[in-house]
Amino acid sequence: MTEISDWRYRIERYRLIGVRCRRCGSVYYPKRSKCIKCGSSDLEEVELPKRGRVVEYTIVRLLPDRYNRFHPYAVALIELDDGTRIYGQLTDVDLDKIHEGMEVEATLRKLYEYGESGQIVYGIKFRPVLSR
Amino acid sequence: MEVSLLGIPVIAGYGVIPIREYWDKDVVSLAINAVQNLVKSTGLKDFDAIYVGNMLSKYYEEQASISVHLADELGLEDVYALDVECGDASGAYAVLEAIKDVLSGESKIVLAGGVEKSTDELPHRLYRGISLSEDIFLVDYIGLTNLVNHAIALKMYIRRYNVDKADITYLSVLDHENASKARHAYFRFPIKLDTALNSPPVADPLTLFDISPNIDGAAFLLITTDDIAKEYNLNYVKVLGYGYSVNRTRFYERFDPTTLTAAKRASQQAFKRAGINTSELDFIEIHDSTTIAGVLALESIGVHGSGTAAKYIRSGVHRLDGELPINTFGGLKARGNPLGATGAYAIAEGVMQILGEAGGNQVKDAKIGLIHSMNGFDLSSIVFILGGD
Amino acid sequence: MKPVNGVGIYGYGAYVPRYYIENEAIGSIWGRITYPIKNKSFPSFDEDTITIAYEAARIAIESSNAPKDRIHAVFIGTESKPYAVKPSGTVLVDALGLSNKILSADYEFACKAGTEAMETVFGLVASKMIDMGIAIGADTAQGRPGDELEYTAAAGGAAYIISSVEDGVLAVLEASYSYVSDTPDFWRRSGEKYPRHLYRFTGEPAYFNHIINSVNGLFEEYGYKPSDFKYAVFHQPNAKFPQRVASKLGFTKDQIAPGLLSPVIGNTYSGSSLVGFAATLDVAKPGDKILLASFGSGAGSDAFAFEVTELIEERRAKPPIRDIISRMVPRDYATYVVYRGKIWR
Repeated sequence: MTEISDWRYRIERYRLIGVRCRRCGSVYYPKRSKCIKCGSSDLEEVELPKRGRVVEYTIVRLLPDRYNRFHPYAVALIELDDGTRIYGQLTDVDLDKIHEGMEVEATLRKLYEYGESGQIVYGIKFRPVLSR
Repeated sequence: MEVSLLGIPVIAGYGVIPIREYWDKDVVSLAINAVQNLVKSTGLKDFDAIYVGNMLSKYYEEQASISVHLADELGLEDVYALDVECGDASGAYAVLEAIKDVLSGESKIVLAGGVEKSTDELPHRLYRGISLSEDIFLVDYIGLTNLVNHAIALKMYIRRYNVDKADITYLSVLDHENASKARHAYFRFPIKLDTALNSPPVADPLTLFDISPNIDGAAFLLITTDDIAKEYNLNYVKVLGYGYSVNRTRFYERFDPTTLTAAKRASQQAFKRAGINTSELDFIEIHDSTTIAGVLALESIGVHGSGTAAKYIRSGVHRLDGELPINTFGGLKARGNPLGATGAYAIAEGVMQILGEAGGNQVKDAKIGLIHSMNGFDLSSIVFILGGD
Repeated sequence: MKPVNGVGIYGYGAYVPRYYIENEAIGSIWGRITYPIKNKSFPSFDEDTITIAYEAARIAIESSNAPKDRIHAVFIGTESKPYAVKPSGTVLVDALGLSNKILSADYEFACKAGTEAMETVFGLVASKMIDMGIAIGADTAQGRPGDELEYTAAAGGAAYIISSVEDGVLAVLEASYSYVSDTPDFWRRSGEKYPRHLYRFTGEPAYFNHIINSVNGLFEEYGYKPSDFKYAVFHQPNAKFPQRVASKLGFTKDQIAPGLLSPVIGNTYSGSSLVGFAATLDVAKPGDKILLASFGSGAGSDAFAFEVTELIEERRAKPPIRDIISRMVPRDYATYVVYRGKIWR
């Protein structure tokens, strides 16, 4: 991925823009061009809820390039308030305090940088809710 | 069984190199060494086509078109040379391309396999590299790695079926036991279950001994028909059946996250083509890139019911001297997982078993074996059923 | 300065990162035993001025339910731009889902860049060139290791959505007054990572002189006196300065208490007076008058007089800044050094 593909994906990554099937209502994130439940190609863009809860999670400890500057991080299977399930990276959380059912909300964070002189890429991560 | 006018597709030779760290060799050299072993044992050195499975040389060594370079180094002319990439199932998919080629009648004698030079990459780049079969949008966006799906599936599986994680991790003990006798394996020593359970976490709850090592290797097979094999006086095993399928790439959109649906469909096709069922298998090579992947694969190909495979593995029925041996040379965990070459190793091992050339790892009376290989966490799966004459 | 057409604050939000370091933890590294404040916030490794500005603006928009399509300016005042060249506000436009028909720029005037941005939006709205605009003060300030500023340079920010009074505001801008002179108390040259300063020179000739002149200017020009205001908020480079300037100007401890956050979050630079202002709005009642006075080194001060309306009750920031502060957790110096990029893996 380059700065250009990062640019192309920015809206999806900044605002959780997915698609909803106009026929059966299924929601997908990131976008799909065809509904895998009912086969319809009639999908509309939709902004997903910014809150949800952790269903399952793991802690990535073999850090891949682009995410290797800091300590391990958590990736969670999150069920958003509308029932859509997505993967999200958690932030502002103590790794030993994450639990299934933990309420989280979307926030914009730095994802990675193209080196010291390159671009900074931003996107949504999830953190424990500031308040209910 | 697939039969064309030209005969039954067979594997009539193999060449592998020990899975090691090859600091002084590049990706093409590794492939050549494996092919040289094949040439030595078969006496054949001319091929109509070559299919080379590889996952990441474009990414780490930045070498593309390995098949063409291999053809050139082997002195082949007028050859159909094609690179095959399907993640860590690349080697197996390359072999299927060769089988289809032979079945179509286009080629008569085909070289197919895989090669991977994992040690040329530094750890962080490697961890990203082996995750590249996943949607790059997610890899970069949330730091998705190849192990995330395995880890989350493991937690769901334990929760859903109330399985003891130790029973799942025990697969690595079995793998090490088998690899300890295998010359081409990477980890040639047994381990204790406690060691595996207490190894450091890599993607909780997966620990180091739940995952397979990515190192260097190359394995190639000679694919032809039974008639031609006989003509050249070659021992061979028949390709009784094969199957392949894909799964939802996004784990969280899968209808059943603890079933490897692609593996399930692939095995069903393969059994149908071969006209046999699981009870007729003498051994199985499963793609245990992690212990949980191996457990789920055993269930998905229909050997055990959902939620039960780990207990059977722990009970000993799948040891080399058990009822239905699996991973007879150590599987991905202990033989090693050289990504694009892994599937080709598994097939070569199946051939060794059926030809009775498995040495200390020989399964008694091995006549029919199933080989499973998959890309990532069942992004795609491929299954072969091999049988002796 | 007094707008011809009535303008005010439609919504607001403030944010500080989750992490703080105690002054004592910094002092123990350098052998210092007296501290300007208690704790200072610092950003996580994945935060910068843009993400903090986003948090504050998101809270402002959500809490006031502001019509995004009518927001036609987003200005960020900061001295810690993530890029030397590349606007910060553009990320916010797309991340917050604002209209792309919008003005956007980064403002710099040391610690008063935020109120500078605010004044600009007041002008654009009052002149009816735009319907609404967002002014943000946000920073992830850096102090050189061991320097005085390391004890106070903090991270945080606040966002203010500005509209005409006809659209309904939670606080009306009554008047403002700016005072600027060439007073080099603090600066950072291009390409330098850390600012430099002239120690005690930052006090009387800089901080006190400019704030006192702007506030007195406001008072003299528009006829205010300290007792007219229920609350006052001053720029907070440490705990002492805002308290002393308040007393010099004739304000009581009670008037500055709600907005005085520097002891527990540090100096959030362009965010400092604006985060304090948000904390004050969090407790203000309709009819309360609030004085806001920023200070920016180099140097200048913007003073504003606001009157809170009944809309405050329904548009208060959710969550209030003190709730956000109360979720903060301490970290040691080593973590602080790594998160701030002072050492690299």
